[in-house]
Amino acid sequence: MSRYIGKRLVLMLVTLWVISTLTFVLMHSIPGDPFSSEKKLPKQTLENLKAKYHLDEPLPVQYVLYMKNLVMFDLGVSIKSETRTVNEYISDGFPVSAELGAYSMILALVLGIGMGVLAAFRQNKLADYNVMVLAVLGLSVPSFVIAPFFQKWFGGDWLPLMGWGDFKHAILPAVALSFLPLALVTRLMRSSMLEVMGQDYIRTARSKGLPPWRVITRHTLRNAIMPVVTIIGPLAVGILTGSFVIEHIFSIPGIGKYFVDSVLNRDYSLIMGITIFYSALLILVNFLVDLAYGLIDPRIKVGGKEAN
Amino acid sequence: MAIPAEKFRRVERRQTEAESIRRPSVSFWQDAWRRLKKNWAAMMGLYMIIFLVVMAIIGPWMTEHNYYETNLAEGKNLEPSGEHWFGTDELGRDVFVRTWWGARISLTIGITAALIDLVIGVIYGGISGYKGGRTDEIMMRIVDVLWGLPYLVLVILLLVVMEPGVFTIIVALSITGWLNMARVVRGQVLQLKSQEFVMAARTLGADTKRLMMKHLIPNTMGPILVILTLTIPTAILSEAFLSFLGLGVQAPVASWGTMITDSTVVILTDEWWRLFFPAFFLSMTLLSFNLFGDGLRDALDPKMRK
Repeated sequence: MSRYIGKRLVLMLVTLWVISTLTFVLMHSIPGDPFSSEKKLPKQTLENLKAKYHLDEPLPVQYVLYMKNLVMFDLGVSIKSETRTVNEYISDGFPVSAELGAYSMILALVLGIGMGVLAAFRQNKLADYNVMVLAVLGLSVPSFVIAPFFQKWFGGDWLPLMGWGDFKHAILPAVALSFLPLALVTRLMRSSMLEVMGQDYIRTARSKGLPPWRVITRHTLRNAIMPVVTIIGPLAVGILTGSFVIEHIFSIPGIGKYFVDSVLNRDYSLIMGITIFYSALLILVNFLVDLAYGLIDPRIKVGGKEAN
Repeated sequence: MAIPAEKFRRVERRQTEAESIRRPSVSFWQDAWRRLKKNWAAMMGLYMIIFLVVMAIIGPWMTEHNYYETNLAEGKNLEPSGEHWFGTDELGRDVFVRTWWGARISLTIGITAALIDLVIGVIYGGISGYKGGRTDEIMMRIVDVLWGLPYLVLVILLLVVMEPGVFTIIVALSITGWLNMARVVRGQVLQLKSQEFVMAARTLGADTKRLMMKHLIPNTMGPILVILTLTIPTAILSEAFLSFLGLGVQAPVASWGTMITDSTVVILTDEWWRLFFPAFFLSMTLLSFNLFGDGLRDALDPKMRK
């Protein structure tokens, strides 16, 4: 187990290194420099600015410098705002994005598991069809289409159209953001329930006289919920990328909005910083999900030979 | 209760008849097509796809308007009418033509990106699964590393570096899009290559190329087709998403994503048609490919065979 964790940690570090190198190379392959688009600056000012951000050094030196700072968790200064560091942007924006993302994740998991179970028990009946129509719509109607309609229909005095503050500000964006994950969880839960319900051990449990609710809670649900754990990683990715548009539409000061703004402003250090932060976050989530999966399902030996 | 012996009649046994196959032989693909035809939702998806493709081709030519012609004097924000079937936008451009122009862009990007993913994914996954061992290990580690990246974040990074436009979006989407295909093909090839028919083919002298092209890849065709169908909506959605953020197709070219961005102001006004039509047809496209892809998966999955 500890050997497995060690191996995974090494792989995580390698991934992170690849990502940061890739972002560095990409961001420095752009012709010109971050200041070339600015209004005509005096030559001396320009040179001072370049010197300040070490842009006058050769690329390998800049790379080593960047990596050194990265190891110290220093992501540098935002080029466009000049006063705020990338770390400040992240520490301001992350709690907001994390709160919004957590609401969406909880909503998607709780509702999705509930609807999936309902659909499976009412297979090919009206409730099943309704749930499946909702799930297919969730997959097909993008969140940036839903969000404006939400604003138009529900936005008003007690559900604010935009901004961030107390809980009621989070309701509309969280619901809009949870549509896609909700659809994914519902579909997965339904098919997984149907598969488990057809297994021999469920028949055994039933034939030995267990009350139905006990069969459901102890035998069906416990087994059917496993695959849902595995898609928490992809769900996190979905919520993260979804937050780009949702935070944009609802003017929420989260990292998603900062990221989109930084891309539109060509704020290279902020783009790099947030990309690396996002990647680290997702790598960590995937790692934790894999570990949790090993703990929940005793059949899976984490670190054992992978079955194909 | 006794039955008298004369009530029984011996059934004549005819060897030839017992051996003959009464039902017409049905190939895997015919069987799959039969199952697909029975699937109401999948067929509806297919008809919707055909409708969208036809409209994408002829739609922009159906009126005398074009997608970039503006009419600031008296044509701004007109309601749908006989002249402008879907109304006009804030610059007086015809929404009908722009919607179907957007369909062209979305479908082109979706289909091209999916085909590029197909080629890269099948070659990469095929080599990885077929070679196995060390090669497989290294190739799959690379996929694992790329898999850990947030797909759209990487695409956005590439878009920052490259000139925005349809071509760039296709390149950016395909650089990261083939991973799923590669994984599935590799898994399938790994499973298939240890089966008897592959050994039989090899014993008969088939070389690697023949094994791949005649035996392994055709047997993987089912999952490949399903992923291909489901990659198209993903690519279309990504394009709309990027264009919505202002990173995709640039004005004045119409894309559903940019049309939706431009019209999110309708929450303050009443020009519902500007948001509704691009949003509706974008959702319809995604819906039709999703329905068809799901149906295809059910039809091709041998486990579902009755």
